[in-house]
Amino acid sequence: MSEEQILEKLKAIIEEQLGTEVDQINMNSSLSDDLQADSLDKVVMLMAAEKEFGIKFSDEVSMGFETISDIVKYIKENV
Amino acid sequence: MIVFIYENITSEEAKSKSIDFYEKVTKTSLGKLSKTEKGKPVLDYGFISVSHTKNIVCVAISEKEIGIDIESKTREIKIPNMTIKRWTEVEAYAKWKGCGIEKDKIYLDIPKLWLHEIIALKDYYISVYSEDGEIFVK
Repeated sequence: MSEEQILEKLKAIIEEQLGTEVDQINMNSSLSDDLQADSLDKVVMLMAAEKEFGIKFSDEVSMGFETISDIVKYIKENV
Repeated sequence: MIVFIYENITSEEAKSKSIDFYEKVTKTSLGKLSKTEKGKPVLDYGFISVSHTKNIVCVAISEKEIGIDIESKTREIKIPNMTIKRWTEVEAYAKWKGCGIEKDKIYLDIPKLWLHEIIALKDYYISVYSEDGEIFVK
């Protein structure tokens, strides 16, 4: 799966779970600053992503995610 | 501990006002405010925790380690088998530990002895986790 494909799926997840419009999300989007995601939002998003991609994010990895790019790259390397 | 609740101010202003008030009332110095690598606010002498939702900011200051979380009672929560009230307890506990939310541990039991519910705003749940059981709310 390419990064673009992962990004599109992740954007759909974020739109559904957080209500953020997809055109406001890009690889450089900061979870906290741009997407205004708090801890609850991040957990909801990552749980949905785990289900979508069939992948597990450990707590240590999850806490290191700061941008959409961080998540996309991790998924690409681990799917 | 003193729990401060503010409307319509920034987290930075809330922290500053809270520290000033605490120092004045207790006649002690909390020292400098800084942050850990993980973004947790720390004081030289004392402990502080901050939470905000919508236009409300809560600040808790104590002589003992502390974690606080506030959430709107009407916030939708899309995590299976989780309630908003329980989420504030999980987050307050995580802040007390200073480790961030551990996604895989959100269903584990939280030791209840140091868990406190602050009933101050009818539309919000506020949870505090601290050994300090003496609570004043401003």
